[in-house]
Amino acid sequence: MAELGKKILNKIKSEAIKPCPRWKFLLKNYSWWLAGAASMFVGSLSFSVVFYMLANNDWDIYHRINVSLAKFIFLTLPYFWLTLLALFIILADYYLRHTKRGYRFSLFKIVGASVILSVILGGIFYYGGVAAAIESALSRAAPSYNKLIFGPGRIWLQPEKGLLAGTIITLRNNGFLLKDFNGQIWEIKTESALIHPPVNLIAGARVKIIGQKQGQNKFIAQEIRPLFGKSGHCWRRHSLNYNH
Amino acid sequence: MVTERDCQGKKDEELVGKILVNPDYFLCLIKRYEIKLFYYIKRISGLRDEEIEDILQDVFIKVYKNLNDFDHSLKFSSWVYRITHNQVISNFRRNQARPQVVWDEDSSVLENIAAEFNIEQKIDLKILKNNINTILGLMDKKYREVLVLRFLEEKDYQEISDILKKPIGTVGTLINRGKKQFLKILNNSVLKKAVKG
Repeated sequence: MAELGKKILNKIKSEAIKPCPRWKFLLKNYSWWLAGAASMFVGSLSFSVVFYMLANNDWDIYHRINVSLAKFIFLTLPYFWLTLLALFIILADYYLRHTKRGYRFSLFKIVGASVILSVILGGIFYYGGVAAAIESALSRAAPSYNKLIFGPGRIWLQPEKGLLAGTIITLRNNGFLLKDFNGQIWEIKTESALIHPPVNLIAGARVKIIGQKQGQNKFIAQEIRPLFGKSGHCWRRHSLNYNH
Repeated sequence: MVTERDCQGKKDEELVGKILVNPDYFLCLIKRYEIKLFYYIKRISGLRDEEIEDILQDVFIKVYKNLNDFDHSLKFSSWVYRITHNQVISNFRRNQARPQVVWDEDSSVLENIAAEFNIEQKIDLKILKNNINTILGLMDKKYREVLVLRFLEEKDYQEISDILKKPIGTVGTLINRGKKQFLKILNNSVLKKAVKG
């Protein structure tokens, strides 16, 4: 043991062992912080979309499908975004715990701080219109996203109960052809439909429809709402003038 | 060449700065910690002296390489113990062995432990001494390591938190639960001997 010190020192000198440069440790620590901050940022974005979807949920239609309010909430919760939010909070905890002093904070404190920050930032993103932009962009870029939110098992794919959602394919006299998010084509009659702004009846528009199923693939529309976002309060009766 | 006189009166943190300029000062830290760390490794591993020296050498090389990573907000001893603890664990993972706790403390430490754990008077300290290796070996690793640091290495909660990189609240919880498990195993072993006897 007496010689251990000399042995170590000789090894350091003979093998030219040097202390690792400080910048490497700083880079490693900053990387963990950056990853943690990025996770919190994405978590906040997820929260803003959750808030947006809940704020723009069609609360008025739950009586149409004969379910209780509690069940309606259960059916319409944005599970995808809530899962994403939970995932990024967990990731934020993981990354922050790997920072130099992150171990000093309990799981409760780090997760608690992540949740609070997500709510605050998420609120800012929501009021800044970021959530609406995310929904709109995803809906256009990823058809599978629409299927996830409006597809099988979701509220707006229940034609027997008078609820449909999809994309307008072509316009016709007195209506249009709609492809729902399960891939089925519907002939929609719009003679007496009330159309909520900002809906514009053009090919490619994505809409939600309240009405009545008639036969296999026919549907009489009573109300047409935008797929995302709040329906406008200014109602107008559908006219025969289409925007071709 | 650095002498013992150069090492005297200098705090560990001060020596870290000097080592980065002149590696010979590293001898000061090695001499300060080699015995403590030797017995710490012995307590948590039960390895032979030669194997412990090999681990100790790896520890000090690692300490030297990572000097620029030393966080001045914690004690240097906590940082060195952390590296030692991690090195022993990775050594066991490499050899796929299970750490064996070795106890060779004097009776004054035993008496302190008996008092701290509220061990009943009727349980002879001799029984405690004879069973302590077995008891510690039977305990969950997470409880064993905090109890060794608290009662054998006499580290406070903050130091244990820094060594094991766990929140201080968690350290307290682990120590309390560790004591309960220790007593449970001890009482079971005493009962078994009473039934056999």
